[in-house]
Amino acid sequence: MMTLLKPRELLLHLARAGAGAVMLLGLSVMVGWHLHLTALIRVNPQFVPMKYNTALGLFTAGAGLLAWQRRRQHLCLVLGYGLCLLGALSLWEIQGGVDLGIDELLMKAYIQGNGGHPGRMAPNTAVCFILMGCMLAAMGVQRARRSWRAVGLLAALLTGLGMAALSGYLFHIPAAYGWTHYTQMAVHTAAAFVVLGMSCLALSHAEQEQGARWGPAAIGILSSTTTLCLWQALRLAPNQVQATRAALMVLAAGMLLSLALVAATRAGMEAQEQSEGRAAGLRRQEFLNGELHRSEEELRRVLDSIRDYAITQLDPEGRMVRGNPGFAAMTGYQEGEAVGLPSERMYPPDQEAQQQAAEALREAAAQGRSEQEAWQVRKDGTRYEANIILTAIYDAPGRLCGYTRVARDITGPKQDERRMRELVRELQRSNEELANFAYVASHDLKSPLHAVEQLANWIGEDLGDNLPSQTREHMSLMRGRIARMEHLLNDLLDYSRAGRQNQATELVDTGPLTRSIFDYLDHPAAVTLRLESAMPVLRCAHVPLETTLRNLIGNAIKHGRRPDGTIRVGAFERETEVEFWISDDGPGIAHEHQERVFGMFQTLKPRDEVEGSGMGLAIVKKCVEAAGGWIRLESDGVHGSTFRFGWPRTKTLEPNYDERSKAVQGSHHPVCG
Amino acid sequence: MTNEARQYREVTILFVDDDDVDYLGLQRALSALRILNPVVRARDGLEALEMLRQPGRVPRPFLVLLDINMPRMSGLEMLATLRNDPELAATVVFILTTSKDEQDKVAAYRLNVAGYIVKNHISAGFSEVLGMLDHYWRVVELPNG
Repeated sequence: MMTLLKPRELLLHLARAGAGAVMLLGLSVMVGWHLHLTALIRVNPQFVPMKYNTALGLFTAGAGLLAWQRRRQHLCLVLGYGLCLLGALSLWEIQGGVDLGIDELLMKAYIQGNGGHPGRMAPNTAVCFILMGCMLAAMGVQRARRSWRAVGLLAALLTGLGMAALSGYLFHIPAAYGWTHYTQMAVHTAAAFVVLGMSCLALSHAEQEQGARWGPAAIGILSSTTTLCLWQALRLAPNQVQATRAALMVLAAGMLLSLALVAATRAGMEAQEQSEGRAAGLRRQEFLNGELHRSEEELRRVLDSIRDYAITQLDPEGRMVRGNPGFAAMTGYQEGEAVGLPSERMYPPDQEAQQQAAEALREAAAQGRSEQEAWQVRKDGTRYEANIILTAIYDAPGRLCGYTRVARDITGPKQDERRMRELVRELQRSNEELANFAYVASHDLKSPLHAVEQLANWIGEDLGDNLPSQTREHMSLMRGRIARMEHLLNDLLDYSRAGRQNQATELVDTGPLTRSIFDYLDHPAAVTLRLESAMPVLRCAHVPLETTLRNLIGNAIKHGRRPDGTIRVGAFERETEVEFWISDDGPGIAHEHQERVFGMFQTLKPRDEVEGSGMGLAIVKKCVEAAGGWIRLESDGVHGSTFRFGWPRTKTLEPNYDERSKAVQGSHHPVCG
Repeated sequence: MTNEARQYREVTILFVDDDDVDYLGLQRALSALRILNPVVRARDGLEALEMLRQPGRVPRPFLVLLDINMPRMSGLEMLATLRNDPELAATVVFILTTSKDEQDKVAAYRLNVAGYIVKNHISAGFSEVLGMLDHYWRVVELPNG
């Protein structure tokens, strides 16, 4: 039922109680003065009465303390200054022998003590009020300037004075509560000051944030003040001899007591500090342990959440210590089953693999890290390929204390890689074969064709004019077909070479090149070439570009409708490529045929009408695409065709003026008809 | 064609080609041009070398019309062997082939052929070739050995 209050709260309660009691006392004495209740004013007819100002002062002091406790710091400060003023003025009156008129200001002193001005308080009372006022002021100031030590020490002083006076009453030593011939401090005044002092002590002890280190000093001041006052009082006692001895005894005893109290208090405080320190230390330890646990938990959660990687910890010999669920999933070893297994067990049993395992550990120990791709064996014996990274862990002095092993299953990607490499190899082989085939085929097919051609010629020659016209026609057709076949074979050969020829890069001046290609091609005299834009100089593989231009211009000539037609050529420079376009005024190519024309052996007109192998555009396409460019056909099927193609620059070097003159201007190869 | 008092010996043509039609063509052209020079025919490089090494098989002086694409030993291989043989190294050889390949041309000239002739370009059969040769052996002196 009894709620245990913390010491601090207890002290605050006591302080509040004390302040309240003193306030009440002051009030009641004031009331007594007003209502002529002598019992309140002086407890006993022989005792000194409490003066009105004293009562008022006590009331104010108590009020000030309470005000502080209720956070009315400013009020407390003001009251403090007031009290100081009261005490100071009274003291000045006493010491200076002046009359400031404050003694009977509020109340006529109809009861007087012995000695002193009516209504004037005792000098020690005045001093006590000054002390109290200072304390209240010290409490009422801003937090930053507050010094609880000051308050505490002053409180000790006040209590000491009060105790001196009280013990004077107790031991009948009038000099203790009345300094010489002045007014004496009333008994209840003394008691009130003791209470006030102790309240202030309690308060300051409670409010002091880090424990009142001044505690022992305060105790010391208290008891020594009391002792000194008593000693002085005794010395002034009428009975000399007795008094002196008593005085000395009191002095000695008192000082010893003071020292003892100081020592005891200090020891007590230190003990408390130590135990508090230990308690705090224990609490800190617990807190850190808690933190550690929490972060371990978090880490474990993180590791557990990783399923795609097998993360294990190895000891310095490479044996497994623990693994995450990802490890269990990858290897089949469940929680705890693999503990103590050497990492070699993860590898296949053959010698090479075992060496690989050992090598990984060695490298990690030496370099701090090792990475390898190796085959691994699961618990059930199945195999998979893994990428394994071992990292060595060192403790603070630098000793190897284990490894972290992170493994990733790369069986899938590895297979894909292998497959892809295989496919690439196959593709390369296939390409080679095709190229060889085209070359060899066209080469070996030419030989019998040549023979047929010759025999046909001889037959024609030998028969001479002895030919019926039909046979003559047949002969002519036969010769035509032979020529066509040769043409086809040559073009097939060109096609097989296209894109694989000489890829030497040079500076090519495309304007003169186009001109020379046109000039060397067979064309009706009236057909002209017109360059409709500046033709650039660009750095590229020269042979394929020339082949492309030659085929396109040749086509344009071949399909032109008019004997005086114009072939228009232009170029458009971009940062990474040059776009060329060639326009003719032929019949154009209808949309439905535009895809087909780039195929092999594709002609739009029967070969009997327009002689052509149908390979020209296929060769062009192959050249352009092999160079990394693109080609497009624009035609409405009526008004001619425009072929656009983009040719990438080999390097984005801007040729300067001098380099332009060195650029290739003409065709290297004589054009064969 | 002046008949000067000089040692005039007919040049033998060693025709090395596996194609029978081409051989026919050569014979036709020879008769058409009334060229009576002796012709020896080999079907491939090996046979040609054998013949050259048989004394008297190929009357000197002679020149060679050599095809490239032949079985067993190609024309260029035979040519290389020829140039390595000290007895035959000085042989005058004309390549007569269907191949327009630049690489073949370069290889042939490296082996010091007297000329590289592509068969396809001949519209009138071998007439032009023989016409040229006819001039050739009248103007050019061949070693007799």
